[in-house]
Amino acid sequence: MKKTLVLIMLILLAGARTAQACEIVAVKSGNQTPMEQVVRTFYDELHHLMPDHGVKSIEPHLFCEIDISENPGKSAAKQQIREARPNLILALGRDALLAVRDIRDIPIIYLLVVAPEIIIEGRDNITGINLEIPPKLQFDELTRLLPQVRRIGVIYNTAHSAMNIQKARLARPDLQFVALNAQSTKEVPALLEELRGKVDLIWLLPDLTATNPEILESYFLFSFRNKVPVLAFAEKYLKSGAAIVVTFDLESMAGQAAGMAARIIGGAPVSAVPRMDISGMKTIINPAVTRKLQLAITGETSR
Amino acid sequence: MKRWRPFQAIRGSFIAKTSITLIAGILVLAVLFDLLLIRLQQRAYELENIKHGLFLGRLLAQSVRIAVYTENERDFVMPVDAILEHKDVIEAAIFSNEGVMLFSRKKQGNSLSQVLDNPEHLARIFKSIKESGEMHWQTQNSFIFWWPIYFNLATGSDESLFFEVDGKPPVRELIGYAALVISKQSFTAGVRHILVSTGVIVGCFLVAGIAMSFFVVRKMFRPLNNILHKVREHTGEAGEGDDLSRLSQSYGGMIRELGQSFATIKELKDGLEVKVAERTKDLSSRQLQLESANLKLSKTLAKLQEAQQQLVQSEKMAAMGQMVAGVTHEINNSVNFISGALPSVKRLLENLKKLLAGYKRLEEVRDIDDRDRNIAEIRSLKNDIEFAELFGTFDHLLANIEEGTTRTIRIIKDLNVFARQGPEKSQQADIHDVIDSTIPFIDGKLLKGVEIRKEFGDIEPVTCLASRISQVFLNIMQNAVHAMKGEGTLTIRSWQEDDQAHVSFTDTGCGIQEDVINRIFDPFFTTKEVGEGSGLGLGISYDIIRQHNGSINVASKVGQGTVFEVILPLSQTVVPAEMEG
Repeated sequence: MKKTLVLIMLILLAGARTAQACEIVAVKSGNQTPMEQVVRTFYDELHHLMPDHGVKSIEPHLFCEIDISENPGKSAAKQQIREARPNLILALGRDALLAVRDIRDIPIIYLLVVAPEIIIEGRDNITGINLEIPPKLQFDELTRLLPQVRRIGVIYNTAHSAMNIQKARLARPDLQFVALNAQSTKEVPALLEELRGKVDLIWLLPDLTATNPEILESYFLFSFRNKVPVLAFAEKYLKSGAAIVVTFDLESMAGQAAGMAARIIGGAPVSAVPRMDISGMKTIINPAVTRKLQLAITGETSR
Repeated sequence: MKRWRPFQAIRGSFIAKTSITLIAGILVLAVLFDLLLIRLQQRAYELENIKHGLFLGRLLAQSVRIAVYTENERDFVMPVDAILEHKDVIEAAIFSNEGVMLFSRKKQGNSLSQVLDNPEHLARIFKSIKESGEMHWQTQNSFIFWWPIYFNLATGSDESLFFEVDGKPPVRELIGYAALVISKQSFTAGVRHILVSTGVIVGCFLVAGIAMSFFVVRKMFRPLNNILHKVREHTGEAGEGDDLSRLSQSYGGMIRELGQSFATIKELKDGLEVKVAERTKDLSSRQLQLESANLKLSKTLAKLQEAQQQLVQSEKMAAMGQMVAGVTHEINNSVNFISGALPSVKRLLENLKKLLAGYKRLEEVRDIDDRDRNIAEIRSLKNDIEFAELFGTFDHLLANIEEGTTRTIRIIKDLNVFARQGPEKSQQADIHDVIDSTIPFIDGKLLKGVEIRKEFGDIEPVTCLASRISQVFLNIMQNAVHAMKGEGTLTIRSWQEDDQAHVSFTDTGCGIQEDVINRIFDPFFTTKEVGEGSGLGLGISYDIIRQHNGSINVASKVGQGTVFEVILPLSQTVVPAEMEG
């Protein structure tokens, strides 16, 4: 009787559909091109880092992606992640990190998140790479290319960017920073007028008050009218009129994340894999703008 | 004189009415089309101007959005001045979303626009914008355009500062309005141009359309015009009504006539069999009558033929009598030679017998005396019988007998030629021999005082029935000598022309009356006394010559004589007719 029951159970189990399982789930805030690029590079790098066979090997088909912009709501994303039963979550962007921050039993690596400290406070299963470009790297690159620049004009909002101003001043005391605080976006054009004749370069900050997309035009109009170049932090500002962009390298960032993931999958506790700054940077010059601003570039662009 | 009334002529002419109706239709359509076209073009032009004005308003709104957001008056100047450089823009103004004018500028020297300076008007405009969203208005001299000025709020994520964010519409805030006043000067000029050009185009179309309509109607209605012309000819100018009425009347008449015709055809068709039967019966009856009449005619013809045969026989007998009389005379003359010589021959033969008897006796006498005596007697007999001339006389008598015999033989031969028995065949004959052999059969009594002259030409032998031709010649010559009554000259000429032999007989007789000359070849026609002729001679002669495919011509003058000319083809085949004797 017992043998018959066991046999029936085995037959039922043999006919049952296998459950879908993933080792890594990538949760994306949206479907932007950089995220696709980062995910692809991450997988490639991880594949190189992890063994093909053995107990700790991973299979390429066990990667899953969830775009929360297509599935709004934290509960839906979490339900999908639970069903996937991953070994690791890769959170791309602020919204993705917010969606998975309540998951405490699965290791989470975040990428492309600005100021993640508030979100991950008190969570020991979350690590990642900060989306901050160290001011030192930016100005080192700037002075290499434009050594004549000494006076840096910057408009910032204290709540968002006071730390950045401080870091910059500490990193490059040889440079003169003319920093004007903008309480609202409306003040930006007037503050720019105040900078007229006082600065050699305008430094754009990732500050939603000071660098509102609608007010950006004022920066570049100021730049063209006063022949003052703009140093930006993202590639997207090149087409608006920025002269130099010193920004992170996405492939490098994805490689860093793959290394962290390999360690975690390999058995290291998340606490043993600390958050990191971006290690790879790249500098891009807008030749049309530099030509119109009659800037003499002394060095080559670097990564 | 009939007066030409143009209106009545047009009212009566279907083609004129059609042409006028068509032209009027084209005219009305052209005017309507012109008005519609002008309206559509004007509307399209107006919409284009509005679209252009709205575009300028949007451009201005976009240009000043930061200035409005920051309320920095200095940043208004450049974009507003740039818009005012547009030819028709006469005023530009920027308002806050509460309707407060932030900036305003007018084109110098233009005093058209008072709209944006009028607070009541502005209040109405703002009310209209908020209630209906309408963004453009018009005054008598200008268009007014409004466009809202929005400012995108910084509600995006921090990542949006680094990356391009797709798909998420920005959150924006209404911060003001851009207003433009555009003069209608160019618009009015454009509308005027549309009016003129459309009017010219439609006018050209109208002229071309009317001309084309005229020619098309003229060409298309040509067959109808022909019909109408024929109808007019048929009905006359006095016909009532216009062309259509006439045509309708004519058509109605045709229909009625056709109906009548069809009814008649039906009646005829219905009664046709009866009529055919009646006609067949009638024809059968008439056929029987005809057959009866034909039978009677056949009998009558047989009787006539019999009578004709009898008459011909009588004529033959009369001719035979004449011929016998001639033959008798000739034979009598010939026989006279023989009968006149025969007694002398007999006498001479008796004398010779006597002389031969004396010599026989002389041969039997042995005695000289007897011999001498017998010689003396023979000598005496010779003297008596004129022995020296006996053989000469004898030869003379024999010559007479021979002459008589010869003449008789010739008569018999001629008689054979004239009255050949049995079936005849056409054969070549010398026409002169035929003439010569015929002359002896002319009544000798009538020939005593008549001189016969022969003026024969060269004629090739003629293929003919010689006896029949001889009969013709005899008839003509008998009539000639009869006409001359024994005195005169009968001239016989012959010649050949082409393939025909001509023989003429010219007498110096009494001639033939003009009123009867056309009847001389009719059967039984004669001018002779009763019993002297049957009237068939020349008729038979005419038939004979006709059988030979020849002809007889006659010319006569009363008191001077008559000429008969017989013309015969040289070569032919003649079959003798039954009736000729």
